Order: sequence, then structure tokens, then C-alpha cells
Amino acid sequence: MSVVRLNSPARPVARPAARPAVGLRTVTAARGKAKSAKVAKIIVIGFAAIQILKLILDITVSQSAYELKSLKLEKIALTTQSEIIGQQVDSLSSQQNLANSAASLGMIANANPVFLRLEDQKVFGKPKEALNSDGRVARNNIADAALVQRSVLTNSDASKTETTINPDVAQSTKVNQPVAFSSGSIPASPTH
Amino acid sequence: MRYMQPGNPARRLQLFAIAIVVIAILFIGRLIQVQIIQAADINKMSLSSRSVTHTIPAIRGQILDSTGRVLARTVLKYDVNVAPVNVKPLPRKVNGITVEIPVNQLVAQIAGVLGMTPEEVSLKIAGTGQYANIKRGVDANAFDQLKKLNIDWLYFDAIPSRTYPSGALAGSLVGFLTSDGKPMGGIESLYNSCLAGTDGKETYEKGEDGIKIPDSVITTTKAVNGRDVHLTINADLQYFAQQVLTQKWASLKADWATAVVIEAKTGKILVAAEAPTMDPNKPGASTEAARHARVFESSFEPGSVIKMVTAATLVDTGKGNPESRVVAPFGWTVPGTNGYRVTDSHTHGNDKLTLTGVLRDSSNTGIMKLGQAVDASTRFSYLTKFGMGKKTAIKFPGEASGFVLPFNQWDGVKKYVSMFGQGFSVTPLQSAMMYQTIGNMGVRLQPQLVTGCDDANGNLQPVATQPGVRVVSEATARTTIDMLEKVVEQGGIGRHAAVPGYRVGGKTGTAQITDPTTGRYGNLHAISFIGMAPAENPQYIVAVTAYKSRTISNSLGATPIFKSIMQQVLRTFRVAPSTTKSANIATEWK
Repeated sequence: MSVVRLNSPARPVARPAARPAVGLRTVTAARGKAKSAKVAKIIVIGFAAIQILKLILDITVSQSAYELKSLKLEKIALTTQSEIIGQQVDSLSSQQNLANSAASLGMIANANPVFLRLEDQKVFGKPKEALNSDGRVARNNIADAALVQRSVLTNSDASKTETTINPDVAQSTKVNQPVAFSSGSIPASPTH
Repeated sequence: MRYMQPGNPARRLQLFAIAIVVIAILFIGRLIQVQIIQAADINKMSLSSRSVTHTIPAIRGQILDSTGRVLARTVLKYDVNVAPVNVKPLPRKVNGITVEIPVNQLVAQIAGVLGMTPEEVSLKIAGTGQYANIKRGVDANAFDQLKKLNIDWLYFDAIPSRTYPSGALAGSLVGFLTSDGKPMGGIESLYNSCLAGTDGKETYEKGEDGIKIPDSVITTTKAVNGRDVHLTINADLQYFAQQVLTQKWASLKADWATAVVIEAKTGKILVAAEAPTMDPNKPGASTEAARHARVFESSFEPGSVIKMVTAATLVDTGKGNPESRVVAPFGWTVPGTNGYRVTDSHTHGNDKLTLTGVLRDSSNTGIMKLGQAVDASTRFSYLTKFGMGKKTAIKFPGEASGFVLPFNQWDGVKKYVSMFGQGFSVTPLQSAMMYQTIGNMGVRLQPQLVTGCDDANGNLQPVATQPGVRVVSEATARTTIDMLEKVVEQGGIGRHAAVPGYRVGGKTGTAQITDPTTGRYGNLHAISFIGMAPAENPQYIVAVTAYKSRTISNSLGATPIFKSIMQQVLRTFRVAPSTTKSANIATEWK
């Protein structure tokens, strides 16, 4: 058996195209992925920060609630004090207390008021000493259950009052400061 | 011997998966039930267990006098409560050492503050209950002292409460609030719409420790506070008048007494005093009658103070003048009656009096003989124009209108006795306003008790005032004042009303009072004096009445009260003394 050596192809075979030379080059990292990671990191940190802030805020608000409660208690205490002082002022300034205090200090409303008309210095009414028995109402007649406090008149108050009406003092006033008379018979005030 | 058979792992896995699915379905079902089907109800239950509704009480407005003095205001009072089950001894540090204070010692401390006996307090805190009240309505001072005792089983409820700092001063005029806050009488009732506020409400959630959960307010309705009412009353003058009146009322042994001060040119009521009266802080301590403002509510036959109206009618109609002459006997038989005889209060002969003299002597016979010149219809018209038989514009709670029969129902006697104040009734305020008409030169004003009510910003909104009504001419009013002056200058009783330095005009009144059991006049009288000053230009009217005076049966019991009050009024308002003399009018003739 004969062997035919096939030295040449039966048909021409195209030579493969010359491949371009493959060289090494630098590859940059995938930009999109890095950016996503950064954003994720920011989100995580931001979320954590928000949670921490929220926690702080919650703690603060909770503290404020207790502070508010404390302030409300303080307000109640101050309101109570205000009420107490208000009651005392009401009592001390009531007509009943003032009338009693004036009476105990020896003050007597003159039942015979005398009027002086400045334009002609004419006196209306007959000047009379205010007498204890001169038709005055001796004591307070008007009930007041809200009167929780009365004026406390100390001895020094009483002595001051006595000093004011001390006849010796009145006498010395008379001696040292003679009353000035103007054209009429009415004593004129030295201050005008 | 039995060996365990090897299982089927696939089947076990299948059963396990089925169980998980079933459980999941159950959970999902329950979730749907809780979150969707019952969500509303569960939310509601949850909220109710932690939410608290708190009423924000509105503060009632104040009642103030004309100078701004507070006559009524709202303060906080406190109910002292205890949970008896929690009562126990409490530890206290004494000199740095903690000691246990026994309950009886704590009780003694509580009792001391509350003004109770320890036994009373012990009785209140006995038992095992959750709530007991020890005392209601303690004031801020007691509350503060109790708080300082630091007893943790005491609880306090703050209750808005009304207080009247001036006590019984104008008490029946101001009125009071019941224990449940309802207004009873007086300004409290009349101006309730101004004084009362609207309570607010706040609902919020609280934590286990009772602290409000932040931002948990569910609803909040703000409280709207009440507004202040301003009266025309001058509290200082009112006090003075009440002092004088109370003392004289006691000495007269009268059922009651009133004093009214009116500003002639405005109709403002400066004083509406009465005795006895009530302290609105303790209304229960007064009698039921004393709680009423008699100045507005009590009517009675006015008696001779009405002679002023008869005289003014005569002058205004031209049927008489200040010097119209009459012979006034002690007794006179009324014409057209079956011998009905009217006498004067004091015996005398046939006095030759002028109309002015008739007023001076308060002669019943004289006024009837002169007054008959005016027909009944005209006199009735004048009486009503002077304000009789009609409530005032104040519309005070329980205010009486008085009573005047129409003239066509007047019988023969009434036609005459009405000339001196019998047969009809007036309130103390109505009689004062008759004199205001004359003092204001013939123009009747409506009395004014309230200046106004504040608006929401605290600005005073004045009440609308009604225009005056001319009743008699200015000349008639002037003439009538001149005649009234002679009563005070020359009258046997009237002269006790004179105020040194001032020209004063006025009229006495000693009215008989019908005994309801017999229907006839009894022995007791309503004594009055109504006057004005200064007579040359009247500024103030003072009207005093003592009902059923037992020690003095004529106006001598009323004139000292009038004088004291008028003196104080003139002094308070710095009224210049009179500089002119009274008119020269004859009171008698020969």
C-alpha cells in the first residue's frame, strides 16, 4: 500500500491574522464600587450619629420632664406662699383691722369736722375736741371671717403715739414755733 | 427485642416544616387580630391605663369697689385627705439620729394645724380604706404647715375657693358661692356671666413613676378665666355707714335698718348698707333674712317721705306753691268716706301752715287738704314717674318692684292717704331715687350699682346707662329742695339732720306697718330720713330707714344716722361748704 504524503494542503488555509502584541497596563480600581462603599460608610456613620443624637435628645427631654415636674412643685410652693401673703395683706388692709388698730392707738374720728375755705379763710363748723364718747362707734361691728391676721401693735408703737400727743411736746412746739397769722384771724401755715 | 426503626429524615423534615407553617399562621392570625381587628380597642385600653385627664380650673373674676379694693376673689383652698391603709409611724432625724415618730404624735401635729382635737383626727384616719377626708377647705397657711410636716400618707386636693376679704362689708350686696361653686344672690349671681370662667382640660400620658411622658399631650383646652366686675360702691364709706347703722340698729332694737347713698348727678349707688347683714365667708352663720339685700328686696309703706312727691306734684301742676296756705287741724275726716279720720302724729290745734310748713311739721291733715287740689289720676302719674311700682334697671336678684294700685282702684281713703305714703310700698332704693330725682333738678336717673365688667384684655367695659327721665321741671325741683331745706332748718325732728357748714334738705318719715295677723296697723313703725346736700347744688342723697324700731318710734331714730353718714360723705368727697343761705319761704301764716 502506497502512502501519499500530503505535503501541501488541498486548499490554501488563511494564515491567522497577526495578533496585536498584548502589553501590561495599569488598571484603575472600579470607581463605582468605591463610591458606593463610601456612601454606605457615610450612611452608617450618619445613622449612628442620628441615633446617638436621638438618644441624647431623648435623655435631655426626659430630664426636662423631671425638671418640669420639679418646677411645677416649686410653682405650687410659690403659689402657696403668694396665697399666704395675699391673705395677710387682705387682713391687714381690711377696714376692720385698720379701724381696730386706729382705736387701740387712741385715734378718734372727730364727730365735728371743721372746714376751712381757703379763698377767704373762713371756718365752717365749730372746732371741738374729739371726745371718746362723742357719738363714735367704739368698736368694729362688721364681721370678717377672712380676717386671719391682725396688726400687732408693739409697746414702741404705743409710746410713739403717746409721744405725739405728749402735752409737753405740744407746749414746746407752741413756745418755740409761734404760729404765724396772716391778715385774717386764721393761723397761716409757716410753710406757704 | 424491638429495635428502633430508622426514621425517614425527609418525612420528619416535612412534618417540621408543616409545624412551622402552622405556628407561623397562628402567629400571623394573632398578629392580624391584635394589630388590625382589635387594634382600636387595645389602643384605647392602653391609653386609658396610662393617660390622665386633668381639669385646669378657670379662676373666677374679682368683685371690686369703685377704688379697686377687692370685695371678692378666688383663692386656692385645700382638702386634706388620707389613705387610712397607709397610716404608719414615720422616721425622722432628731439630732442626727433617725427615730420613729409614732402615729399618735403625728396625729397631734396634724390636729394642731387644723384646729381639731387629736381624737377627731384619729377617728378620720382609722380603718383600712384607701380614702378619708380629714378636713375640707383649709387655707394656704394651714396647707403649708401640713406640707412641712412631711407626712407621706397625707394627700391634698387644691380647690378654687371664694374669699371675701372685707367680710360682712356689703356682704348681702356681693352675695356668695355655695360649697359647690354656685352663685347665690347679689353681684355673684347678677354678674355670673362676667365673673365665671370656663374650665380647661389637659389629657396626657404618664409613665409608671407618674411623670408626664414628653410630647404626649393628647388634647389641651385652655382655661378661660372670669373677668372682674367693678362696683360703684365706695368700700370705705360703706364701712363707715355699716358701722354707724349697725350700732344704731342695735340701740333702736329694730328688725333691720338700711342706709343708701346716691350720687345725685349720676345715680351711682355709693353705699348700700344694712344691718344685720351677712359675712359671705360664712353665710351659714347668718339668718336667712340677713342674707337678702333689703335695700333692693324689702318693700314697705314709706310714710311721710312721700309728702315730698305730693308737694312737688302740687308745684309742678301749678296747683300749689311753697306758700300755699292751709289750716291744718290735728285730726281731719276724709271727705267721701264713712267718717274715716286721719290725725297727725303729734297733738296740736288748727295750725296755719304753708305747704312748706306742712312739710316742716309733716302734717298729714295739711298735705291732704292741699293735695286734694290734684286729681288722683295725675298724682298716680307722678308717683309712677318718680319710679314707684317698677323695678330699677339694676335688676338685682330678688329685687322688689314695690306696689302701687292703679288710681282707678283707689278707694275714697286711698285717694287721700296716698298723699302721705300709705296704700303703696317702695324699697329703700326706690325712696332714695325719688329724692335723687329732685336733687338732679327733676330728672330721674336709673340707679347704677355696677360701673362695668372687664373685657378679655382687662379693659373696663362700662355698662350701658339709660337716659334720664324728666319728672318735674327744673324750677319745681329747685322749689321742692328749698322747701325740704326748711324741714332741716326749722323742723322739730328735721333739725337733728343738719350738718354744720352745709345747707341740707330732707324729709322725715314715720310709717305705720300693717300687722299681717290683724290686717290693721300695729304699734311699730318704719322710721326714715331722706335728704340731700349741699342744698344749693345737691351732690349726694342719703336715705336711712329703720324697720320696726322699738326704742324710738319716730324719725329721731333715723336723723343721727343720716347726719353721721352725710357728714362722712361730704368729708370723703371734699365737698366745699355752702356759701349761700336758704330761700326765704314762709312756713306759717296769720
